[in-house]
Amino acid sequence: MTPRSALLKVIILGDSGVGKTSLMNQYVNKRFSTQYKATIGADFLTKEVETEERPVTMQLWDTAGQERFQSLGVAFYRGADCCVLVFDVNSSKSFQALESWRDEFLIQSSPHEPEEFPFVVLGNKVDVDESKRQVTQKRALAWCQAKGNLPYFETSAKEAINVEQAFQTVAIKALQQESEEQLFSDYPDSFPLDPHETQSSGCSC
Amino acid sequence: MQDEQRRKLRSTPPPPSLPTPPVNFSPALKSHPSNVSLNPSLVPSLVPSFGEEFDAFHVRNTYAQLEVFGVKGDGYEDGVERTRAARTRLPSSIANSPNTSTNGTGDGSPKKRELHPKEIQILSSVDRYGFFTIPSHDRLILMPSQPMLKPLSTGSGADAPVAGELKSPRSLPRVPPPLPHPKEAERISKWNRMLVPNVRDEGGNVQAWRVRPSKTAKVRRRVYKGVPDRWRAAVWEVLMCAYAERLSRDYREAIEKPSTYDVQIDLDVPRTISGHIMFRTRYGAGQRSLFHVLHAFSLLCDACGYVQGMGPIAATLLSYLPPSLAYTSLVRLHTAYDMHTIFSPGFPGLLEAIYVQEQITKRCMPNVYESFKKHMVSTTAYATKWYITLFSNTVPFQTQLRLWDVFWLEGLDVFVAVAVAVLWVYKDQITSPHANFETILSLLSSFFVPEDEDVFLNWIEKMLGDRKLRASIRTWRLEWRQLVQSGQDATALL
Repeated sequence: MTPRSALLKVIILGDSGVGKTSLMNQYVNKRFSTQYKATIGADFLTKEVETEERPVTMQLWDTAGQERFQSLGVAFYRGADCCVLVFDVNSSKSFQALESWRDEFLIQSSPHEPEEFPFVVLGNKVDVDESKRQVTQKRALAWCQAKGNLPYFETSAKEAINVEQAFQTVAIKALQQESEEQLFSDYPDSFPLDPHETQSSGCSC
Repeated sequence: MQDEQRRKLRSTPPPPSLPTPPVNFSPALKSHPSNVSLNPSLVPSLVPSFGEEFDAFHVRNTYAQLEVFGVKGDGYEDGVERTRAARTRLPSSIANSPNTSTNGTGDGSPKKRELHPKEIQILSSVDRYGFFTIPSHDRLILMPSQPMLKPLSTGSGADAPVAGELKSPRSLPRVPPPLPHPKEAERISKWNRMLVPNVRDEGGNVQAWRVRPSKTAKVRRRVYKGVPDRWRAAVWEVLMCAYAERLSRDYREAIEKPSTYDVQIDLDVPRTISGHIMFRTRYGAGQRSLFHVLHAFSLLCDACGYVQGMGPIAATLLSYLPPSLAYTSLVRLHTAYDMHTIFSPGFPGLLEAIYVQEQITKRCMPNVYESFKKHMVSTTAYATKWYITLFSNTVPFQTQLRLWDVFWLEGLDVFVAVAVAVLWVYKDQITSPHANFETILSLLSSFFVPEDEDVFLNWIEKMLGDRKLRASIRTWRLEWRQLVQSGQDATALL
């Protein structure tokens, strides 16, 4: 087994064109481009993050928004530590789709405690003119509340608004999830034999 | 887009000063039979079809209207978004809007105006394929020729892990500008002698070509050597005709019908092929053709509909062929070249190609195979976009064209060979003791710039020329289908 110590796996989901690739690139590479193409299959980037607890490596998986690509998703949903749900505040439809993205993710990834699994919700493209906005902050917050008080951020990948803050929260949530999942996997047959593993989780007892 | 314009883009970069009018950026409707040439008096407003969603109708209607009025600054301006985000209703007549073209589109009369200075500047900066900027890519790396000096073979131990420190693949700051092959002129005349006119129109212009019978044996080698760009449109047509019986579909009829995929297609059209002058302007002639071709194609097969990935394929075809022919080519790709299996739900053809790729890897690069297994790198994680877009946006456009030259000749096996070539080139990095999930996946998700395209194509030619291997590939394809039928496919892939 690969050492899971400080590696956090994060999956980014949401409708086509809401800005998943742009958010990921803004966060990791600090840039925005209008040249991003539709993501085919999946792509990933990694980012080193400092949290209060310890430094972690976030492995961010950017996915295709078109539903058909879901059938290929199964393989990398497994073992995810956090899932980022993205919608476009100027598209009501993309907001309504969050429900099914969440359900689908839980079915495919089958976490130990589906109710407790950390999701972070991002309402993207807040830079667009207010008159075009279709999903109010209130409506988005109400949904997040109903789904177990999910953290919600209004972001703009283009203007780099709230992106850093949002992913910092993702890192923290993922880290919590990772330690909880560890409890489930630390049953007798899987003692961590990897030296890195022992080092980084050394003081927990 | 005009044939005239397409031809110009294809041959040489335009000279700095252009005769007037050199390129007509507005669709001259009456002279282009393959455009959706709708008579203006008939068009502005289509009627929503029964059950068609407003958003979808809005998209279809916008394209139809702009087909008539054109778009201002087509080819040198970015254009204005009309169908995305908040889908505000159009003004009752789009013609009154300041962003539609006002010069000489509807009446078919030639434009009299001078070229806009920005138009001249853009035109003089396009490369030989039509790109005014070469799109940037993350993780740009040099794909060295050295490993490809040795052909693929079984049990040669070629992929044994290399001890010691390994140089990481050389990254490049940018994609080098495309250059004509040094032998281009010589090859143009060779193809001149090899192809003879097959069909001429009333005015004596050649409409289709065929291979001179005495030269048929030379076709394969010459396709691998690279089709001279000036011959490419004719040659693609010739090769496809040879591969599949020519299909005739009524492209125009399909454009008139609604498609449930219109909103998705519209979302993807402007972000399909960045940097290419034909597709730059929002709703410009190029983007409209792309929309119409994808729209028509989405109606062809209920199972396939539209999938992201068709876009880059259609855009590549459109940079050589007029819309109706680009559509016909997609139909052939779908049916004769088996792309149906690649596009349909569950992507059965993709998984089959991946299975074949893995079987070849297992036999010819067992250490590479083991490394994938050890680090749990599944092939779908990096190869999905290779097969679904036929290596668009993964290698430079020029290289992609070379691969497609060969694709028309050989079929989908080519892309398996390309995938295997990539693994072959980077076998040392993949089997390195320092390799891990991330280094491998990051490497294989790169944009590959071949050090020498000829070496690259040569290697693929050798691999696909191996009859035993080709026979095995056929067997593995059948084997995969049996695994699927017996429900054992889930565990058969890495």
